[in-house]
Amino acid sequence: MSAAGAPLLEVKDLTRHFDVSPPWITRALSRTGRRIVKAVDGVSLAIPKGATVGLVGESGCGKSTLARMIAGLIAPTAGTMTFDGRAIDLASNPDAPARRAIQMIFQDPYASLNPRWTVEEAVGDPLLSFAIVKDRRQMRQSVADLLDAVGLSPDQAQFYPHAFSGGQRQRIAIARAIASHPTVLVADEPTSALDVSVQAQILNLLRTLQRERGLTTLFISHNLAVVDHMADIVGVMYLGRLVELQRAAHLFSAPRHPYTKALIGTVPTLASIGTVRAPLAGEVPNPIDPPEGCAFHPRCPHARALCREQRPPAVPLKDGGWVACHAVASGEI
Amino acid sequence: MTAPILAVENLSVSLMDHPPVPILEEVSMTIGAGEILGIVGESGAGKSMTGAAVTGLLEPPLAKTGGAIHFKGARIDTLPEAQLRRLRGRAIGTIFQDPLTALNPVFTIGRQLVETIRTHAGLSEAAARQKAIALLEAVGIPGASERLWHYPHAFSGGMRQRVVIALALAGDPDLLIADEPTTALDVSIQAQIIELLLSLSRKIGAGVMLITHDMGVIAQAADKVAVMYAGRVVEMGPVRQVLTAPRHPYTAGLVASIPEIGAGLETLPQIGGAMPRAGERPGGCAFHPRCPRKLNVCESIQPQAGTTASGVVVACHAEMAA
Repeated sequence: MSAAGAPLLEVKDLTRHFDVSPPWITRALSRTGRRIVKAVDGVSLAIPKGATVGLVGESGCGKSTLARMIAGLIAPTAGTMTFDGRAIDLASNPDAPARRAIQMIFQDPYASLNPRWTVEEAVGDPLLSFAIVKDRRQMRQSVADLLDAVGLSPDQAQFYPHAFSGGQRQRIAIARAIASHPTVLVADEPTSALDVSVQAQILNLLRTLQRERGLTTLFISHNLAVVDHMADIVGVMYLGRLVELQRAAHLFSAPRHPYTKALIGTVPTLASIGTVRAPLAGEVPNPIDPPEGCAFHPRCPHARALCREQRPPAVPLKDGGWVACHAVASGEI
Repeated sequence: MTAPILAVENLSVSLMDHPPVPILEEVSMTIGAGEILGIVGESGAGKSMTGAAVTGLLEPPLAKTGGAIHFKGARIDTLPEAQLRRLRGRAIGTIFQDPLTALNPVFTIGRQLVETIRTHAGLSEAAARQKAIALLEAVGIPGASERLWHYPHAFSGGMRQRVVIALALAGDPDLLIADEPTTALDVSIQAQIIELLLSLSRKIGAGVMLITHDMGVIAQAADKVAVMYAGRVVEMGPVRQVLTAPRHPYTAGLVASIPEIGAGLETLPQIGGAMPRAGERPGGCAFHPRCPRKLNVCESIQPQAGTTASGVVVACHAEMAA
């Protein structure tokens, strides 16, 4: 990438397969093989220090699985992840320094907070377990500072999550994520469970924290406008593969991949009042049995024989970034 | 002008506790034939409650405490349940958010469609089956005659929502109530479903109440929009007017806080605080604690809705004083 700085976090050919086979007896009786979902299928991506990389795509494209592998919630099937120049696999190896440095915010603040833990216990837990504070008194002070930083009152530290609204809960989850002074934040749809006015508050808070704490961020959302607002570099995923990666300004003003173009075309704007654009016919195919070649070819207006046979390689673009599309590679579009 | 398909006048709904908690307060709106009225607001603003009240689906402890609902000129909120049942599903079709829970998983979609059609139209089994196939074709399901034999689980989310729309159309409705019809769907599928709803409602000339939290959906599909806040309609008017030149400070704040592609803003304009829960609404205008244009009068007196020169109905002291 042309973005400044060496990558702080890098993944190469990262792959995760899920085995969704029926029980062996069923397979034996119906003479069917195993069924494997290739949730993430050979994704390579680098996040420069201090930058925000956004990932967009529809449900089932593998963006959350990718985030979960980086955050160490699931182990990859193949591929490598490097953080600060060394290999990591948080799900398989205990690696306290890297785990402390990579923290995650989840979509649903109603599910990501333990209802039996007070705010102080939830936010203070990483402080104690990483021995960032010496005793409970220090912990209380740090929790108060953290709550202040995310716009909550320190007086609310003894409350349980049920006493808070969705937006406030997401603030608590953010306070917990930044408690261990992470350098990398993985945010998986952090505002999609929230109302728009609350979404604006949370996005502004994340921006402020990124700036103040120099956070490197992987930001995932299905909402293109939110990703454009937050990210420096944007990757577009389709059926487990990254199909295009560009600087946000270039991607949204001059998208190259037909899927990216169609996706941007569906976004309603105030300028398009009274018109519906549904440029994408059909639906995302079943990831158990993805199409051969380019996975997008059944829905693609530029599909030709080559697209049905060969998986398109990444073609570098002159303004940085790359796109995986035969039609772009041959200069047709 | 002929009578509107739906006219809601000063509808109030409360949670019958001690004392009763007001949920909807003096909600008024009209939907004409072939017109799409979008109802937008944040969670808890009363959007779905309005839809439920119109279809007579309020269950105790919720109860209507005031106002009237007219359907094609006749009052329906005082009808006995048996007559209301005949109206629901026939003249008033409903589409819910989650297409998986709206369909019965143990019956084929053909069975569900045929049963619905026969209940409302009294057709023979064979005629109902023909109509079911026609409906599935109308909502864009390929291979309709074979798909009749399939169970809901065999359909994708977008296809299921098309089946639900077919079910809602089964009684040839004059009014469709679509409660967050695309919220459970992906963006590319959302656009397809909105396009379908739009073309169908134009074709059959039905009025549509489109309930959504998504301003983008409103911008694409609706003719008129009602913005709700804390159980009241704060602004209502033609979509272009309301979205491009919002009059109520809440609408203005809401529209401004939506990120747009290519805007390149450092920070998004935001409305501080959150919408009060029912039962905790402040006196006067419920928006006053968050309002950038608050006047003294806003704390004590509920603003009355007034119509501006451009035909937008707005309930705001500051806007009326200006």
